[in-house]
Amino acid sequence: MVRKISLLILSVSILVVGAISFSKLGYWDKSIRVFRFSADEPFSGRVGGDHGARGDFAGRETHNVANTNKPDGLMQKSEPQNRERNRTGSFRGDMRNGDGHGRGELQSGGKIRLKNVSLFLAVFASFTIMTLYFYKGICHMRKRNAMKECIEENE
Amino acid sequence: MLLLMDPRSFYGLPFHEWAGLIIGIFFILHKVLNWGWIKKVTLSFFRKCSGKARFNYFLDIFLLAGMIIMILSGIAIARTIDFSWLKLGGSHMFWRVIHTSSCYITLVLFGIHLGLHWNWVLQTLNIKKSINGKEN
Repeated sequence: MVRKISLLILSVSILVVGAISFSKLGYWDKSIRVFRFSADEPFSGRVGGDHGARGDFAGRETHNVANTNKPDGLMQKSEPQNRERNRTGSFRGDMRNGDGHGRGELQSGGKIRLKNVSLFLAVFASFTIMTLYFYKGICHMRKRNAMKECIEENE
Repeated sequence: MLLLMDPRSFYGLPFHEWAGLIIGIFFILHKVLNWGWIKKVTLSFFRKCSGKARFNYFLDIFLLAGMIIMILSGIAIARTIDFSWLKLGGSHMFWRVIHTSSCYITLVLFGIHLGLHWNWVLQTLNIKKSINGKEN
């Protein structure tokens, strides 16, 4: 019984943390962004609802903001320059970090920041828990219905 | 592993791209090696099949599609690895939006997939004894 209660508390806490992470990451907006995307739309970097961890790396590249407003030909011209810059291992000025301090996050160095990873992990775990309990609930209902039918047949 | 693929969190963009490429290759290899099983399950899908098995099958199809889109869009927006010779077309922004959305959706699908196979995971790790001998 104690085990069951502790598992239940753990599951509920995972679900709560998952829900918070889901809203912090702006998960829904970013998931359905592809269905709203139009090529003519100017790139705004972030889509609404993203004011927490600012977990999306899409749209954080300032030079790409400029590139999206250029015709394809111009973009292709500037692409080798970007590649050359990236080959040197420096992404400074291109990408800002998740906390808004700017610069250097995507350098090729060995910096590990687990904040975003934990947010993604929480969302992942909460969907796993939800599915698990949903499936258990369905199985339980089926069993109950089967038992009811069995009892009715016997009667 | 997917969670560690965030370019802002784990060793930067070069690691993200190389690890993504390696995982993508292994994923395709995994599907090729299990092609016989996929064929068998596809054929049995149209005969008698349980609801759970059907749902799992659809989920696996969506996961496969998500992974393929993720790999393709990742190739299209790659910076440290030069894939320009593939000429995938489309704007950088277009592929970037597709990459982000497919990653987010696929992560959720993987969560659901794990939830549905949780008993199998526990049995494999010897945490829970098998009740029916096998799942599904």
